[in-house]
Amino acid sequence: MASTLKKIILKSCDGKILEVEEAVAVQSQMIKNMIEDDCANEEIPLPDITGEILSMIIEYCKMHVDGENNSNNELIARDADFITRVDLNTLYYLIVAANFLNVKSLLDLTCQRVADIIKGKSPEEIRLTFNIKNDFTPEEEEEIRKKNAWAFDYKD
Amino acid sequence: MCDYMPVKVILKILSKLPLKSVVKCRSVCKTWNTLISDPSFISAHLQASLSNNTPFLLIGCEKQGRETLSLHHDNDGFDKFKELPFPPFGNVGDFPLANICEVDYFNVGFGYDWRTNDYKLLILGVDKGNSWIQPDLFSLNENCWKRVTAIPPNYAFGPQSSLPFVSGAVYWLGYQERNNGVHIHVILGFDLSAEVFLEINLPEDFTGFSPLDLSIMKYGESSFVSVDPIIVEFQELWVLEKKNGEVLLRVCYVKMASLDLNSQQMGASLYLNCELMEFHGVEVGSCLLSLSSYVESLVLLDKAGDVHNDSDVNHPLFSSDSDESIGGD
Repeated sequence: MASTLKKIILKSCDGKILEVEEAVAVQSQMIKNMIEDDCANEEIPLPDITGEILSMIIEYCKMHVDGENNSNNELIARDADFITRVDLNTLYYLIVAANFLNVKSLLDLTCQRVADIIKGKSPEEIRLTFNIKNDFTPEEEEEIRKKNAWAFDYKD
Repeated sequence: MCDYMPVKVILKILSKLPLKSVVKCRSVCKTWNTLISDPSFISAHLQASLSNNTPFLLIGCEKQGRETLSLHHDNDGFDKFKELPFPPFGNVGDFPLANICEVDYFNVGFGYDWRTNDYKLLILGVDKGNSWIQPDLFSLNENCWKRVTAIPPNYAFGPQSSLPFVSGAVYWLGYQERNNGVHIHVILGFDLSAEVFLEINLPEDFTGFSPLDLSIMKYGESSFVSVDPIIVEFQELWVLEKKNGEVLLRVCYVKMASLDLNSQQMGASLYLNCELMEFHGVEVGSCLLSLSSYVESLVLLDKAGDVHNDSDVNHPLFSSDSDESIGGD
């Protein structure tokens, strides 16, 4: 039964080494593919993911593996608890890492969180929140606003 | 932070937003505007809203002589979600129609052609002598009207407020009046992809009703014909289904009836029991005009190319190059 206890070794960009049970690691489709291709026997370097973010992702994956038998509502509550503890900056790194590691449920959760932050905000507020540069000329912006005026007209 | 975000991720975030937020996001920056204006994003957003949200019921009814539209959650309680402004969204401008001068009345069908990823609008007109005017079809992709070449079936039809769009075709009711004054009814349809007419016979039970007694509506992924309950004591429902490419008419008597218009009370109530055999009601005002499922979707009105110049009045469907979205279904 040694194979069920197999550990996958992950190395973050800041040199942190994390040993993860295979069942937890395969929540990442990328690592799962590597295991299937027999490329996961040595440590896997993750050049763009810090140790802090990697720990959070492993915490999340572990929560999902441990909670497999829990009700759906319970998982949703845990997800909500996990994601509301995350600040905007961390959220960004989590998204990039979840996308790279291809952890679908975490990517869905983090993207939904960003969408919830965007909801109800004006374009100016969205730019400010996410530090996005406005590359429209005033005329272009005026034009595009005019075209879509109904979306700004009334609240829902 | 979004500067460094993979495009795939930005698309994923945007597709989780409600339609109005998406449209607001167009003015955030050029990248977002380009992503949102892409037809593949629009399809993805529609798919996401179809799969993530509980469906809505759009109920049109008359309140104090005014037509109102309201959205209700399609759940047991039919909780009211919100009242919609009428018309639902934005300005839709002028609507050029060349051959409508001799028309007595016309019906408009609107739907989506999956095969060509195109929205189409069908105009069915009847002249003063009660015969068909050859229908016209507008394609959003081609941005122009064309005459339908298929031969319309030999049935008359009455004015209808909206034609249900079900699995690629719009449907309406047709009839023939026999010499003895008896009406034979059929469901007529127009397949927006193949651009052919469809004809579905109705069971004999319908024979003899006046065309005004019958109505056709859409509910979920099927449409049904309902018999006006003011005249008939029993409620029955005829559900139209597409199975293996064949259109079938399934009879659903009271046992499985999904619609029960209770006209005993002052003000009609609408009940949908959806196989539960438990009645849940929602007051809809004095008169129920329409009922359909509802989903919001983006439609690009300027993808057919350059319609900035309005001089060619035969072509643009809408008055400007506006590419706002329109809601409803």
